[in-house]
Amino acid sequence: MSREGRKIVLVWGEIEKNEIGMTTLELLNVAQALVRALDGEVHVIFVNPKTEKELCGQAIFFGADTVHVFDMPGRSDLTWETCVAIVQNLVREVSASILLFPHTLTGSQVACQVGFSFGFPVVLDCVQIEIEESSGNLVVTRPVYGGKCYGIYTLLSESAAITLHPKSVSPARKEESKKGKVFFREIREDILQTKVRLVDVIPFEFSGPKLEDADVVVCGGRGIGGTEGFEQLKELALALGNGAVGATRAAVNEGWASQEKLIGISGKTVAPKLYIGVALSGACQHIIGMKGSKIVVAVNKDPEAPIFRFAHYGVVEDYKRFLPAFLQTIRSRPEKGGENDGR
Amino acid sequence: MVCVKQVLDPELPMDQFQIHPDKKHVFIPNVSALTITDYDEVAVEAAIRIKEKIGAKVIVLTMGDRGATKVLRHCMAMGADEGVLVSDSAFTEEDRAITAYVLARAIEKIGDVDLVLCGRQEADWNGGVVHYGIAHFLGVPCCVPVKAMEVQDRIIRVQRIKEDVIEILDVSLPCVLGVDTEYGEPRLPTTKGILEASRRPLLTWNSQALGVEPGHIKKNVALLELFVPVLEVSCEFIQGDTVEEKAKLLAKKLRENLVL
Repeated sequence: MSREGRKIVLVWGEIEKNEIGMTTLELLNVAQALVRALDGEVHVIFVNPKTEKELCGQAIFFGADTVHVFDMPGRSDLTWETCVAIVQNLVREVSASILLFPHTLTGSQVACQVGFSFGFPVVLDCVQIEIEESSGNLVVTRPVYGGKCYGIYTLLSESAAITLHPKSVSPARKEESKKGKVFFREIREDILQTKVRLVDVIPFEFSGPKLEDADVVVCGGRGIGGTEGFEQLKELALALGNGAVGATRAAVNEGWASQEKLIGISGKTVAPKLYIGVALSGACQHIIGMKGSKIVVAVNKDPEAPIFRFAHYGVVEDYKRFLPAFLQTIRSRPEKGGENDGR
Repeated sequence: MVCVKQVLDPELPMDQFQIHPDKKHVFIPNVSALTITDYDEVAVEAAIRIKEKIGAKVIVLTMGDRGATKVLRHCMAMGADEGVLVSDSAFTEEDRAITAYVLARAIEKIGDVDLVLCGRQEADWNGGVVHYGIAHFLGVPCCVPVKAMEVQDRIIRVQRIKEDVIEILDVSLPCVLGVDTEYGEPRLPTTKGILEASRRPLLTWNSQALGVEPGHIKKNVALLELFVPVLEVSCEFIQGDTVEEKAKLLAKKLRENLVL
């Protein structure tokens, strides 16, 4: 499938809302840079995409040379173990040597299992993936110590399985003139893995927009003190125009907010236009999940709270006093800054 | 069987956090600054609850040097039965595959392990790959992150947190699970537990005891350097005599930035 001796970079593809997913576009950007340095080809794999499978072919416009779509109609209970087996087969078939995954749960799970099975080095959550010109080695940068610092690593192998931290690089640009090949393939019964069986799926209760996509994020921390405080944050998020509420690890551990609201190293990464951090200290583990935000506002009664070092605007005030006043101010201007903001 | 790890206390304030001049280590002020990874402590709690419910022997395993015995004693004081320390200057932490390989060899040496629990990730190198590596070298399935578990006959039923859903999965035993802090609060050791734990012996194994030859697995990952990112911005503090004044001023600033 590939010309002799060319390096194959394999990207794990995902579909979101009937489009090639943002994480996939970010990976394709990295993959294109790698194949330019290595004289290689970019392959993308989609497993059981929840969409018209023809849509996956659009990955070609974003830099894929070959797209493989594996499908098993009527089966929505495939576990990651089966995904691992499918990727393993494809890696052998096309001799892929660099495997790129998004740093999502499934992404890291498949990356680890496939990577280890081939003896590839496995590195997760990278913010930068490059080829060192002098040596031709892969060099990756990733957060360590909960984001307090970053480590730069050289991979002493021509192969690797790597996950990319969301929103660390820009997405690949679309070029409709690009050409490539698309293969549609059925997932064979005999590849289904049985050591793990999916019994049931329980969705989290949802209200409002998804955290990762929201233009406004209001996040609460340990100082919020309880679930009532989070109701107040929700009110503010709605008043600011369909914003989403997030939480720090401390607040999730207290049970004031559910896991899917967690922003930070073990949760989600957000990069909204406006982020408001309320009664949270600003631990590195959290900062790493919100540092891409355009405007950061911090509300905390402790002027020494580290979050102020990452905020454009700081309000030293008890949130219980400040938020009602702020809500009233926003609501008293229903024209939403209409007269002179030039939008 | 629980794998735990001693780490620099993540709550340590940033001004005490220093990178060693060789740029490859983080400066550890003293042993008291070392603590158990919070996720790992929850994994120990999960193991003890299984022991209380259906009966089990809980062995805690760690690889390391400084602070490692302190962490093992802490787990034993919580209720773990035995502690095993794997320690050798030949063991590197840079390539987490090697850590996983060494831990897997130790688990094989212990023998007849039905369930391996780890924290979902370490608090220092944030590899998040060691549990998968252990599972690979043992040839068993691995499931991460788990918020609830119930041992049934030859399977364990787990709740796994996926981005926007919780999956209920039956995983065949033996297996490796990475436990999330959502599982529940770890218990505090009792005075009696601390006393008893301090009297019990710890097993210590080096590379020879495990039959791990240097270079058994090739080191594939090398740390070049550590650096502290500069992402701080200068914060404009919103001034005002009353909260209302501050609220109005903040709203004005946000409108100027076109985000309100």
